[in-house]
Amino acid sequence: MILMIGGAYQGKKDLALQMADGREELVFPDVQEYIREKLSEGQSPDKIEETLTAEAFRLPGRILTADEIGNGIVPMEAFDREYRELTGRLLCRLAKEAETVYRVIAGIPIKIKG
Amino acid sequence: MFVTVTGGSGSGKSEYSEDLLLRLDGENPVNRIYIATMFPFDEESHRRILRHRNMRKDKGFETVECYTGLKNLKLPVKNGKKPSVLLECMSNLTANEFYREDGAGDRTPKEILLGIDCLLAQTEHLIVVTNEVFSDGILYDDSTEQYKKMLGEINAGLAVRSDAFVEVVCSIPVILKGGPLC
Repeated sequence: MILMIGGAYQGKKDLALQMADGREELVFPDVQEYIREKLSEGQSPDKIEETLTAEAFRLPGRILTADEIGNGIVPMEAFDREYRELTGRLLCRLAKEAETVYRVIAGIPIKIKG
Repeated sequence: MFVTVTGGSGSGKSEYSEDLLLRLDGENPVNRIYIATMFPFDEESHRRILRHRNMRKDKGFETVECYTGLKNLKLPVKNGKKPSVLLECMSNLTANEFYREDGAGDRTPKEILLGIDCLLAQTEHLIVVTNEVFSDGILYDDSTEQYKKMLGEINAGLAVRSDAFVEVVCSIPVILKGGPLC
């Protein structure tokens, strides 16, 4: 499994698709949106972690992309704080399990693991 | 050795910093201190503090609280050994100094960096955890922007003094200055 993180609009999805040789089913984009959606539906962090990791390994060679959202001022809203921190923690978990982690800046992938 | 560790929310910077200090300091703690800077003001901060206490409970730290006035902190020498210290987190200490009545106000960066120099003189190893709060692209009110500017200045001051400067990204250490680290 490959994890690709970076700021918003850095070309992560395009790179992921290239690496997957165009096989769209291998790419799981916007992990942070998945987390936000499940959290707002009232799912517990443990349940989200379980389904997300299962999804990450559902197919061999999966590539996950996620926005880095933790590099700002602590948000005023409790939900935003929980979403931000949970996303950070789940990305740590995925990074630990990933063979390779890229950080993408301006479309340039920097390998930080593997 | 002096190492500064930065990272965003939930990046794993605390766990990395604790484990790095243990590697620098050796297995058996003789004199290992955790300087806690978060003032417990509501239920969420109590929960946060508890989570951190649990994370480090078997790592041999003695906890010292310091909310303001870092430069006045006197740390003990034990069995002839200076302490190895983890200070967490600079973003809280800066907010305390800037916003609290007993804090340094506009002189915050200067006072905090003076405090760091005092710590460096008293410690065997020092790790300071700070925070990346600069990239959300939101324009805040004047005082928050002033706070961000101060923390930016402090981080730059830490980097100049550091033997190594590390950004933790999704639990992965990315070394921006110095190293390699054990």
